[in-house]
Amino acid sequence: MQWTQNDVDNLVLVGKDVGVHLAESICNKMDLGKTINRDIEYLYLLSNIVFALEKVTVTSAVYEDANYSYLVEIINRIEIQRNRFRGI
Amino acid sequence: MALTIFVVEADDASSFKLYDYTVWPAYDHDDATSAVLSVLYNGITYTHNVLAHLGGCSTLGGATSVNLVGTSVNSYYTVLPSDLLDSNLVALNATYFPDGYYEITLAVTTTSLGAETDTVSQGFLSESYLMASQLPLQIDIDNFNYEENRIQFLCMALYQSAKWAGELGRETSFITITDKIDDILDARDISSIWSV
Repeated sequence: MQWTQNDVDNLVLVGKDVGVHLAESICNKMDLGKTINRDIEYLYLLSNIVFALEKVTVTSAVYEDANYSYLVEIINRIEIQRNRFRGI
Repeated sequence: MALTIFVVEADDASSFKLYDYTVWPAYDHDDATSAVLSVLYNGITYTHNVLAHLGGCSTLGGATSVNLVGTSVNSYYTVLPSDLLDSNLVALNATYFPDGYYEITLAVTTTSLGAETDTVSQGFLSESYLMASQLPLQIDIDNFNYEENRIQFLCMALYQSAKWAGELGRETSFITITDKIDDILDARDISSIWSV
C-alpha cells in the first residue's frame, strides 16, 4: 500500500480514538478497583505512536510505507486487546 | 474550498484565538454580509457577531487581507468570554472560559461564495492543567513512591486523552476522563485556581 498524507492523518485520528477508549477503560477500572497495569502500558504506547505520527508528513520521508503499516498493526492489536480486557 | 477554522485556548483561559485556515480562492474584494461565531457550552449556545471585528472580512482577497482574520496567515481573532452572549444577553463568563467541552462554529456569508460554515469541538482544560502542575513531585530518592509517581504520569496521559476526546467530538468520553482527572487532583487536596 502506498501511503498518502490523508491516510496518515486518518491513522492519527484512529490512534486518538483508540486512546480515548483506553482512557475511558482506565477510568472505569479505577472506579471498580481493578488493575490497570496493561491498559496504562497500552495507553503510553498509543501516545507514543500518535506523537510520532502527528507532525510527520509523507513527504518528510521519516517513515516508509511498511512503517505505517506496522503502526496500523500495533493500533489494531491494542484495540483487540482492549476489547478482550473489557470482556467482549 | 471549505471554511476551515482553528481554535487555541489561552493558557490563562482569558480568551481563545480564532484562526482562519481556509484556502481562499483568488479573487478581489469579496464582501461578507454576515459573520457569526457560535459557541455551545453546557447545553447553551452563545453567539458573537464578528462581522465588524474580523480584520479582512469585508475586503477578503484584497491587497491587505489574506484570510478572514487579518493580513497574515498567522493572524487570529481574539474572543473573550464576555463577548459571547446567550439568548438573554447573558455573557458566558466575565473573565475566563470555564474548563469543559466546547463546540465552536463560525458561519460566514460572502457575496460571491454564499454561506460557509465550519465547526470545531475542543476541550478547554487550562485551569485543570495549572492545577495538575501543583501535583506533589516525588523527589525523595531514598523513599521514592513509585505508585504515586505512576498515577501522576497517568494523569498527564489522561489529559492528552481528554484533549483527543474533545478534538474527536466525544463529549461523554471527555467528561468521563476529566472527572477522573478531577478525582486524582481532589485526592491530593489541589484546589481550584480561578473557578469557584
